[in-house]
Amino acid sequence: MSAADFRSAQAVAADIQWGKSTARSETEAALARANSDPFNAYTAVFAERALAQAQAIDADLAADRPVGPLAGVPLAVKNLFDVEGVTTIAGSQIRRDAPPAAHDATAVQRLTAAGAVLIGALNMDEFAYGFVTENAHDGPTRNPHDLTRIAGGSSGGSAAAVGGGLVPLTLGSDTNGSIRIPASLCGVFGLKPTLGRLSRQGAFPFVESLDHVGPFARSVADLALAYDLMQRPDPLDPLCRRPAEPAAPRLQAIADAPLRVGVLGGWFAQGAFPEVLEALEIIADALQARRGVELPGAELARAAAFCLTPIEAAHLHRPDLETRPLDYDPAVRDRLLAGALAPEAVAEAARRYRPVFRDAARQVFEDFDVLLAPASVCPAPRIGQATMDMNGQQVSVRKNLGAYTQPISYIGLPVVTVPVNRPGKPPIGVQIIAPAWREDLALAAALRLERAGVAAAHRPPEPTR
Amino acid sequence: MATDPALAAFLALDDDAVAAYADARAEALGIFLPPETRAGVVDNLALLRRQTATFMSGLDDAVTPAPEAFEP
Repeated sequence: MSAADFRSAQAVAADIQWGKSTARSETEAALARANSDPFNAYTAVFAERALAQAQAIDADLAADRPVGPLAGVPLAVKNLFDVEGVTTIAGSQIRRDAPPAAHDATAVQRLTAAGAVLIGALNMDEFAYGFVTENAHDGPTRNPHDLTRIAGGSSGGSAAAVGGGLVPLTLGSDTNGSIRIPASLCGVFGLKPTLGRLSRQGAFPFVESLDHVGPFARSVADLALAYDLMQRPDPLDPLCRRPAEPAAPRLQAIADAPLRVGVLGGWFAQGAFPEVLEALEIIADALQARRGVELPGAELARAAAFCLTPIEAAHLHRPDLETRPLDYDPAVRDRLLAGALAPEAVAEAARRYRPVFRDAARQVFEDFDVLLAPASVCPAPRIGQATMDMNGQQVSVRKNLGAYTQPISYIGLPVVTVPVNRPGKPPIGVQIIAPAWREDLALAAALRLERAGVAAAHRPPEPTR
Repeated sequence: MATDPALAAFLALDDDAVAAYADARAEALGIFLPPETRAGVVDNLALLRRQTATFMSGLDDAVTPAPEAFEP
């Protein structure tokens, strides 16, 4: 592939602002990387649009007109985000003949308004239902650290593109763990904000009551900048009503102040591979965390999220499930059909447990600023691997990778996944979980770890095929 | 807790009875299950039933709030 680029988004923007490079040259390089992508991260490349935007940015800079903080920075987005003039496939075959989107999704609009240049769209599990990005239609996305292994999912293309040095910034979505799992397996930073913080308008829905969108990056500063640029109410997303509360300006001060950190035990300590627990210990030590904190009801919350997901998703897919079921990825179809057949009362009960578990979490947060938990049960499994050992039992990889992420997204808490700095070893991420609307606390803890060299998105080996 | 009759019937199923339940539900709902999907659907429905039983153990009508417009 064309040479990978591991500069941060803000370093790219600075190079352009200071005349060391141009938006056009950065865009051409990113397009070349996209067109020789060794990870199967991209499913579409938008060369014409990207070059036109880059040209406009260079013209603004030449004329001393103000540009945004991401001016000229390459961006790519999971292919469930609307991109004007492009069909939003959401990882599916079924949507390939849908009409093109009339507008960019709100999150895409806000980042491109800040100068980010949209390079292309990225691979995912079909309709975001999965943790593996072994897409039946577009093929598997390969992990930049080991091409024989999965990138995680469902935002696997988004994590691989950042981890592999194709772009410094991507967008993904997270319903049950779909930002946190691939961030962990690909060794990058990922932010799943509080439910309702960032607009989901123009992101193809999976489970509307659980869907979040968020960024991937190779540094905390990039993650915080992208997050801040996307914040503010959006009348087109009824959940997105909260005024912007920019985090980046406050992170250094919070990171320097005492933080009360707990390590979740119980459900979050069961079944993890030894290297995952070792990585968690590294983070816990660095943050001087108290071990063995209980979050009552986590297993039940995971079960409730597990049940709510296919039942609510099946509502959206019912017409296609009835008329063209065989056009779905079999791994997705069978779960959606099961959801369609389950009684609606299961979903109602699953919604009823949400405030119960939320209140339990609020009580725990009375004693802690952030909580730590593994992001994934294991490092990246091999592509095609169906089962793994968990608690001494062979269990499905697809159904269990999200065991530690599902309880948290079920109640919409913000989480930063940090890549534990273990050079030469498979990437493993840790969840830093904060109270609702306190993304700043999770980002500040991540920043403290990054400054200490304990968390880092280190470069993968040069891909060979 | 007292449950909706459809939920109670679902929870009362043995794994061996899930296949027949799936067929009956599919017919009642007008959903055609292609033969190549049936085994996978039944497996997933059985898993949903077990997971439902798991979280229902934490629900108690006496103290559980009614469904709300959820705020994190």
